Amino acid sequence: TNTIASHLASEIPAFKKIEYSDIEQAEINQWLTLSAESPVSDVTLDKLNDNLKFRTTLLGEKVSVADVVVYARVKDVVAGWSDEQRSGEKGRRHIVRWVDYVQNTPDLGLKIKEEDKVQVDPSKVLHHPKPEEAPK
Amino acid sequence: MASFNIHVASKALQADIYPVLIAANVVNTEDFEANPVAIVYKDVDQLDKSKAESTVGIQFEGEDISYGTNDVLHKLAEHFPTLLRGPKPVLVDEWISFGLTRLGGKDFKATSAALEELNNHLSLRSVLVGHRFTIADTTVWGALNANGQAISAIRRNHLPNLVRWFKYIASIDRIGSVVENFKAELNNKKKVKSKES
Repeated sequence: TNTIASHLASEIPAFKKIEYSDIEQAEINQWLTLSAESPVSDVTLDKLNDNLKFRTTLLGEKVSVADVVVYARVKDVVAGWSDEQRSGEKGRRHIVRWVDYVQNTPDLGLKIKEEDKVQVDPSKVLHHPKPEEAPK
Repeated sequence: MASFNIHVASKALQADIYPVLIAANVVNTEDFEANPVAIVYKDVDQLDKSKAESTVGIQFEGEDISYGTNDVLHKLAEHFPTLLRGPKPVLVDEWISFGLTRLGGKDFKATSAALEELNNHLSLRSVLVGHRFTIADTTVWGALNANGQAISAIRRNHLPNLVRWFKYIASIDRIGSVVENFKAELNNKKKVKSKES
């Protein structure tokens, strides 16, 4: 399916005007590969969550086909998470935030039906981590 | 032809100027037939010496000029509701006040508390209100750029949600370029002046 995804990416208007560097292209491919297993493993979900801590999209600020494909592959898992799993002390909060971004942002314009979206309540945050010095 | 003028005292505090310049640029870069807003700079720190708030002003055709950052932002928002305020105008207006009152940068503790509040608010949100940037984001982002303490706090990376949002808003060219251009313009003026003297 990754070959199909890459092909589709070149056809989607939102991506046509964006240029990706070699490094960005490698990152896109990496996320397509990592998310291809079914079900997506905990190791991959942790990696995804860490990656999104300082990034709005998988690449940072640019949208790419990886956002769409990875979203499609993890959305059902995320939809099943409890509040604790979403925003508790060990919750994967950055994935939840990103899922809500991908399904709603006009940057992508996906037009997903309301009933097919993961329901996210952004005002419901169980735990706020204390500000800490991030590793350099 | 522009529908109205925005007057800017270019020597005034950047906290007063940035939010206005960004909102005006967002309006002018939307796909309207003409640029609706004309910006008129004056090389002073107050446009009207008898009025402290007169760092910026807005003037519609045939009307009196209205002074103050808060007034200018609200007039712009009322005029371009879909573009600037989006579907939740009340929440957006609360963030305009937050940007103009809580990020003044005079009190270290107050600024730290405001930054932490922003960071918490952005835990599960990519923009301040809804799913597309509004004048809430541009005002708060502009105010942060004028606040040295805030900028160094953001560089320390200890408030990840705030850092992520700050980079995202900066990456939207019609917003990020405004502050860069203003700073470049100031530098040019300084260079010209030092050559003259």
